[in-house]
Formats: sequence, C-alpha cells, structure tokens
Amino acid sequence: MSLGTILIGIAILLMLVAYITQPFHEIGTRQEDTIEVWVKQMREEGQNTTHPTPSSDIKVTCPNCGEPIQKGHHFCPQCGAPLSEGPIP
Amino acid sequence: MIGEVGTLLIGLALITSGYAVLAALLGIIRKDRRWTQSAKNATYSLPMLLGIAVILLSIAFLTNHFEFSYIARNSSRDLPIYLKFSAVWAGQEGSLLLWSFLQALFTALAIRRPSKLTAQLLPWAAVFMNSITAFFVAVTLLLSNPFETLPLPPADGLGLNPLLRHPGMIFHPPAMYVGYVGLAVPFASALAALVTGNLKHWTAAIRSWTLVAWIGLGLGLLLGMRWAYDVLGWGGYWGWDPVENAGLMPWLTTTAFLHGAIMQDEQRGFQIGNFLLIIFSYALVLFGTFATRSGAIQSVHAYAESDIGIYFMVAIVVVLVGSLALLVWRRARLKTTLVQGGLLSRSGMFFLTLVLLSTLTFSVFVGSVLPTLTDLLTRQKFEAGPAWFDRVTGPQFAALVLIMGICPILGRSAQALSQLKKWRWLAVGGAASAVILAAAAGFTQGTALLGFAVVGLASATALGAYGKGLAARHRHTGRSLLHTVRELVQQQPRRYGGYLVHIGIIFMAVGIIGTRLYPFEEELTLTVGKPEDIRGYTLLLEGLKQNSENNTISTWANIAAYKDTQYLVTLTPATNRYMNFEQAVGVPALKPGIREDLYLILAGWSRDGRQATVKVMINPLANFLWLGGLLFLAGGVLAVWPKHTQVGRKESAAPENQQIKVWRDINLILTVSLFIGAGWTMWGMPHGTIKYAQGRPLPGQSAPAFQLTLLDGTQVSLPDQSPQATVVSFWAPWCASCEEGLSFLQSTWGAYQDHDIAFIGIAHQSDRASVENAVSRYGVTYPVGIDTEGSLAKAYGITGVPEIFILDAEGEIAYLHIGLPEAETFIKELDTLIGEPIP
Repeated sequence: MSLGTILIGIAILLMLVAYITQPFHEIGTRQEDTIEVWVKQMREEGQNTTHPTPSSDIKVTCPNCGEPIQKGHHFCPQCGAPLSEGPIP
Repeated sequence: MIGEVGTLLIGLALITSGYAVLAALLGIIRKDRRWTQSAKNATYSLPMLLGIAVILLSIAFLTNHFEFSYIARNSSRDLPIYLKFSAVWAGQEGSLLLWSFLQALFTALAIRRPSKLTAQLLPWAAVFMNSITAFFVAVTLLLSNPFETLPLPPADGLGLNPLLRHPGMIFHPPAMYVGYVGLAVPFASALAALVTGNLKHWTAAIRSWTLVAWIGLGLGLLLGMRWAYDVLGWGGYWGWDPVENAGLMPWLTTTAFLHGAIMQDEQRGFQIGNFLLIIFSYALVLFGTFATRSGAIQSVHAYAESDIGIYFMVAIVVVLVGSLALLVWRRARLKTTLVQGGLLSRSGMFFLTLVLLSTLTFSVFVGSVLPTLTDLLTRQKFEAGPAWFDRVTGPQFAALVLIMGICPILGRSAQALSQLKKWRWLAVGGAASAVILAAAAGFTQGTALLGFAVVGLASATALGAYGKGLAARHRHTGRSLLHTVRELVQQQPRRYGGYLVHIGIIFMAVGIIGTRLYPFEEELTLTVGKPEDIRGYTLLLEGLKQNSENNTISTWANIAAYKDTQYLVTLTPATNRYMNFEQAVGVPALKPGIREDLYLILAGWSRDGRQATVKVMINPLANFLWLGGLLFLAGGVLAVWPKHTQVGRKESAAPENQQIKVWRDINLILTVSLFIGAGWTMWGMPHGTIKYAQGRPLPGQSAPAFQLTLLDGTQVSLPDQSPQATVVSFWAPWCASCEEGLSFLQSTWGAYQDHDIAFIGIAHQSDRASVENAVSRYGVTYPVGIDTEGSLAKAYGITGVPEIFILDAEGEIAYLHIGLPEAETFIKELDTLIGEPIP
C-alpha cells in the first residue's frame, strides 16, 4: 500500500467522521438552531405568505355522477356537468 | 491504488450505514435531535462514498485495469467505450455495487425534503432504508467485492459476454435497478407507518416514489422485451424466462398497489391489502435478485453460480416474517377491505383488479418456481413452458382489460347499473366493430376475436368516457378543444396519465393477441439468385458475406425481400461467432410493418456461400405492442409530472416562478426528445436492413426499359423488336470473375449468333479506356455499352457484378443470375427460350 493511498484513506475518513459527528460538537447554541428561533421564523413565514387552503381536504361531489371534486372547479372533470357553485365565465 | 481506495470506500459505507441505523434509532428513543441529525448526515454521506466507488470502478474499466478479477472477466481492450462503461453492471459484483449506490442515493433523496405527510414516517423509514443499504453494502463488500484483485494480472480481459454487447445494455439494467431499488422507499415507509401507527396517509406520502419505481420497472421490462426482439434472435420478446418473470411480478404487485392506494385515498378501505401488496412487492424484488444470483434457476440472465443466494433467501424470510408480524400487531387499527356498493361499482372493480393482479402474480410465481421445486422434491421436472404461461395468464390479462373497459363508465355514483345501461350500446358497438375490423384483416381465430372484442369494448368506453368530459367542458368554456385537453391534463395529471397508461395497455393487448395467437415460423433454404415465395413475401438471396475482426467472425446473408412483387428492403440477418467465448450469437434482421413484422434469422449456410438457411418469422401486429409501450410510459411520466398548481395561475409573477417555468420547459423538451428517440430507434433505425432505391426485377416481371449508347456510337434500346431471348449482362473490367464471364459469354454468343437472340453487355462503374481494353483483349463481338451514370444498375437493382438477366420474347425477366451462372444451366435456359436444343 503506497503512502498516497494511506493519505487519501485518512482524508476520506476524517471528512466522513467530521461530517457525521457535526451535530454533536456544535459549540454553544447556534442561534438558528434554538427552538425559539424556529418558532419565530415559522411565525414570520406564516404572516408573509397566505396560507394555501388544503384544497384536497375540502371535497365537493358532483351532483351528476357523484365524483369527489376539488373546490374551484366549474365543471366536473369526470362527466363534464357544470357545477352550480361559483360563477361560470 | 484504485482497488484499495475502492474497497476502503465500500468498507466505510458499511460502517456508516450501520451507524446511520443506530443513530436514527437512538434519535427516536432518546428524542434527541442531535442523533437524528447525525443519522441524516450519515445517510447523506453514503451516496457520496458509494458514488465515488462506482466512479472508481468505471475508471478502472475504462483504463483496462485487468488486475481486478471482475474487470478481467467482463471487459477487454477491444471493447467499445460505451460497453466498457456499461460493463460496470454486467456481472454480479458491479451490479451489486450499483444497487448499493442507488439504494443509498434514493434513501438520501427520500429523507431530504420531507413533506407534511412523510415527516412523521421519516425517522423509522430512514432506519429501514439504511438497514437495506447496510445489507446490500455488506453483501458487496464481504461476498462479491468488485475491487478484488488477481495475483497475476492478465494482459487482456476475457471480454464482455456476447449477449450483452448491445446498446440496450446501457439502459435496460439501470432502469430495472431504479425500479427494484425505488420500491425500497415505499416498502420502508409502509413499515414505518406500521411502527408509528400513522396508518392513514402513508400511501399518499409515497405515491411519487412508487410511481417512479413502477415506471422504472415498466421501462426496464419494455427495453428488455425490445432488446430480446432486436438481438437475441429467437423472434420473440417475452419467453416467460424466470428472470423476466422476476421483473414482471413486482411490477404487477406495484400496479395493484397503485390502484389500492387510490382507493385508500378515497377512503374506501383497502388498507390491509395495500400493506400486503407493498410488502410482497419488495419480497419479490429480493426474490428476483435471489433468482438471478443463486444459480438455482436456469435462465439466460443467470449470473455465474455463487454462494450469495442463501443470504438473499434469509433476507426474504426476514422481510416477510418481520413485516407480516408488524401487520398482525396493528391489525386492530386497520380497516378491512370493504367493497362498498357490490362488485358492480367503482370500488368493486378496483377490488377485482387487485384480486386479478394478485392471482396473476401468483400464477407467474408458481410457473417460475415449480420446475425447480418439483425437481428438488420428486426428481421429476415439471416444465412450465411459454405455452403453459400463455394459457394460464392470458384469460386473466383479458379480464383485466375488460375491467379497464367497464370501470370508466361506472363513474363514482351509486347508480352503477343505470350508468351501465346508458353506455351499453357504445360498449357493444366498440366490441362489434373491433371484431369486424379484425376479421376483415384476416384474424378469424375464435380466441383472437374474443380478445379483440374485449379490446374494442375497452377502447370504446375509455374514449367515450374521456371524450364526454372533454366535450362537456369544451362546450361550457368555449375554448378550443386542444386548450381544453391541456387544461384538463394540467389540472389532473395523475388521472389523465392513468388514462393514457390504460390506452397504452389496450394497444399492447392488440400486439399480444397478434403475436401470441398468430405466430408464423418456417425454415427456408435459399439459393443465390433463386427467389422463394413465403406467405406473400418473396425472398431473394443475393449472397453471403463474412468479416473477421477482434476475435469475432461475422457472417451475414443479403436477402432482398419483396411483398407482392414490390421490392421492400434488403435484410441482412447475421451470426457473430465470438472466439473468446466459443459462442455464436444470431443478429436477426427485421422489417417492421403496421400489420406485421418480417423477421429473419440466419440459421446456417453452405460452404461455397451459394446457399443460406434462414428462419422466417412473421409477427402480426407486433408494432402495436411497442407503440402501446411508449404510450404507457408517457402516461406514467405524465402521472409523476410535478404538479404546478400555483405557477399556472400567476404566470410570471415572481422570478422564481419564471425559473420553475424554465425548468419545466427543459424537462418537457427532454422528455419529448427521449420519446422521439425511443420511437426513432424502434421504427426509424434500420434493424439489420439496407434499403436500395430499387430491387431487381423478379422473374415474370417486365424488364426495365432503357437506351444505351454502345462503344461504336450506335444506340441500342430495350424493349427491342423482341427477339426470343435477350441476355443483359452487367460487368466491369475491374472485377476478376467478370473476365471469366466475358470469355464465357463471348463463346456462347458465338454459338447462338445465328438464332433470334440478343446480347447486351453493360459495363458498370468503369471508364471507356479500360472497357475498350477488356473488350479487345477477350475479343468480345456482342454489343457493349457503358452505364455512365449508373442509372441502369439502379433500374435493375444490381448490388454487384457480374449479374445476368435473361429476358423472354415478351420482354419479361425469365431468369436472373447473381454472380456467374454455371455454363450448363445458362445454356439450358437459353435453349428453353429459343425452343430448339442445339446438338
């Protein structure tokens, strides 16, 4: 085994160990890791972006064929029947 | 050095994957984020380690490092670069390394961006996925390390197995691996759902991964089928080989799972079924690996016999026992499979689909395992040949297509029966027209007509149901039909992708009916220049050629094919003999057509090169299979296509959206070009064929008319005043056997000059001086002219010199000779035409 091989091996090993054990040797508490910061960030995010309605949870069924349909459709994607709610363009 | 670093990387990967499992478990037990994060980091570093190992192995292949036993056995210096590269996964060691790498990569990708649904499953899913990685890495390192060296490195490798020397080698195995490895993600997530008790949403969470794995398997199977059809030279695409079956079974169960998952999402039960299906899918993946690597099952795919089979057997047992125990433990919280609304309802049809796919899988499993099992138990081999499989699985596949036809018209309402009544005429009409169409095309076998009826019904109802929705929406919005299609597909890519998959399956069914029920196969011995009729085709052997390079001797026959006396193409079926392997591999020639494919295999030839025996196969409707396959893949791609709910609405609102749009367009272009490429390789690229502008006129056809300026400046034209016989001979002064021909023709001319007979010599690709020189040297007195523009050679479709056509009094070809005729035959032919034997 040549010296080069041994050096490459040691280098790989060191990088690997350093990367894997990284979560344990963080000195002190890094600001962005504390739970308070997380919560704060999430709150800020919540204010800035409008919450997309979890559309998949609200289901309407087609009066014609009974197909469950996401809200916002004007026509049933299964049978094509117009849906009464919402204006038809 | 490559070897040591490579082995070190695999070793580190083994330790890291073991650590990742432990750290993830500790993170779960201690609820310590640091351990979880450390497990994550370990998971991310795995694809790095194994990826570098794969790259090192590729480099070793490309740079001919034959000190590695794996490379010495699977590569050689003369191997083309692309094959050297794909030889990485040609054998057991390399393919296991690639498998480990993909397993690590998929694990890292799966845990990288957890969605809301997957987040709860993740820690446990990571434990299971990393355990699988650890298993594969351990098998690679301890039992089949590709970096194992030979004590005495050979100067050159043995070379790649001849059967694998094909561009298909680049795509088929990796696609299968994507499928096999991809299934580990849904499997691990299912186990995680069982452990954590989040039993409701796991199917939705892993749908994309399941689809990716399913497309990978489907693509791999299709590529394998096409590869077999193009090269393996037995005229088929599916031989029910145990390893083919091993790939098909998880695909069937995954298909069933995808359907069951839809039901679970619609909250119609199916929970236990879904768990069972995904568990069995992964167990079948392991079974497939066991089958290929244990040497227990005889197959063209089988790797050299090795001792790793037993480890896979143990893995299968652990997977099955462990997962089923988890399932039993959670049984109280699982909804049993409910069929709401009876069998004749949407969920009833889905239930039947699941049942049929499961019985199909079971049938295939029985057929694959029974020969080995009966051999072991009773010493009497039970043979499950292709006919057995066709008989057992055929009706089940037909029933599936039938369900596919009934399902879209049932809709989701409770009044399934009334729906059925509304649509019955369309269904009957579709079935009837398919039967009439098929019967008119000559497919009149009872079973085939039944099959076509099912196919017709399914396509009519499918098109009807999709067309109705489309038309209604088109009416209401008033937008163009094309726009409406786009809108529908964009809003519900999964549903319309699924529909496209169904249409693809219908097309494939047509191809399967044609090829399985109307196979035509006959051996035919052809003699140079003698046309033979077979099933509406005329085959004319032009000659045999041989070429030798790189320890390989290729022999091929040039056979002009005519359909109804129209020249089609020249087919060149070949046989390659690989000296290193003492193995001969046939390379068939294929002329695809809409109605049928003409398929020739070179089976043998005579020593003098005047005769060739070919196996002629005519495969009806084969192209429907490939076309259906492409549609089916396109549907799958559509179904996993990233949904862009927000981007579509607020066009170009933000720069990020612009960027997403650009990516989407790049994706689209890539996918479309991939499909165009696939289509081109199947139908655009020649498969052992050469297309000449014109074929030779066959005996009985009128000879092409021409005018020729002779050497003395006079003109000769054909048809002339029609002597009883006209000899048109193509020759060239640079051709050795033509010289012999000149003196032979001149002496015949001398003997027949006084009869009502004409000779015309046409010099091909030659200059005036050398023609005149040859004419005077051999004392030729019959008319000779030069085909200066090569137009005559083209009109007569000659592919070499000498070629001689003998015309009768009507100006029709009576005889043709490719190469010099035997004197006796030639004179007999002339005598027959002029009607008086010369003493």
